[in-house]
Amino acid sequence: MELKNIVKLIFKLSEVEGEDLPLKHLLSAFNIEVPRELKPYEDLPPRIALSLIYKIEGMRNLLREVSSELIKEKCTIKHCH
Amino acid sequence: MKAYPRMIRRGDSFNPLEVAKWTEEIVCRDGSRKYTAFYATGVYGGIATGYVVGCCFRCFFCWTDFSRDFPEFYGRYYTAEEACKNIVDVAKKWKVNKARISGGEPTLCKKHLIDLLRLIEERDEIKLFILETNGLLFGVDEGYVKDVVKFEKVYVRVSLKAGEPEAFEARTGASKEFFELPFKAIKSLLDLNARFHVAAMTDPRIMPSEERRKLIERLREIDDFLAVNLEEEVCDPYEGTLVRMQFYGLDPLKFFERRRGYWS
Repeated sequence: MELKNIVKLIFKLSEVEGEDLPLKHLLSAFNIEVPRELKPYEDLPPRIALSLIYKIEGMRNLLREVSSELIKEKCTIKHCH
Repeated sequence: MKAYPRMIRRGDSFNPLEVAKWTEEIVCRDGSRKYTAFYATGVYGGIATGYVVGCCFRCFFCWTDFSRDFPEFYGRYYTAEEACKNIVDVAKKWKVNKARISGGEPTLCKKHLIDLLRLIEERDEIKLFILETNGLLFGVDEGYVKDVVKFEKVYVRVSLKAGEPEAFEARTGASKEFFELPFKAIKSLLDLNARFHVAAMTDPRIMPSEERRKLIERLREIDDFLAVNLEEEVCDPYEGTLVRMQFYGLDPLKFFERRRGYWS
């Protein structure tokens, strides 16, 4: 799976389990190995991992791109009636 | 303000900066701060927690114990050194490398917090320190944000309570004129390239969908990423929550959709 899709999956997983389980455990449930770029953050909950990854110059644009794709969904998922 | 605000009733409001100062007179003393306990919990994949006393908001849905409402009766004073030692001892005992102070507003007692962060920074046992704040005091003082985010282990979680000024006042008791301060804190954190995310009490039983939409839009105006990575909080029936709701004028049984017994 390409990095962009993995990042997208992490955002979506955060909606369900963003604070408690480490990123590596969540991804392993989908048989996905933590990509090299995200390895330093694999023991953190996904939402915190994403926030830290956003601080990395080389990753910021990718996260921005995924964010702009997901922002429309943010208001239609869960309890946004 | 005539009396120290404790639990709020519908329609109550106060100046939260005054309450912050008043609370500090109770819970801070010569660089020490009141704590009720030190323990580890399962959140964040396991985290050592110092449970502090005192807050400047009075949210009716708040989950903390009654030390928020009656800080005079709870906890004892710990220096930053004592608090750091207790947090590190808990972390070692439970084999976790994250820490936080929770239960109250950690940005009260500035000197204590800065001293504690300095000490945590020196301890190899702690890799990440999560600072959970309502953003009020950071919003009023950007210098405070700078002082905190210079510590490399600090990660901030700003918890918003509302997406509109009137709802902010109704839920927290803090006057609506202070609604913007937590958003100002978020902007400062972003400008300072701090490590943080935003949470909000968007439980649909508390926040209507239109207000939630506005809140997300406000975050989008700052940064799309913050909006997408928003942590959406849910209200749970903790003991303190049930009592505060009842006092506020909400029926907790109806709120949590529990069936009444024959005695009620």
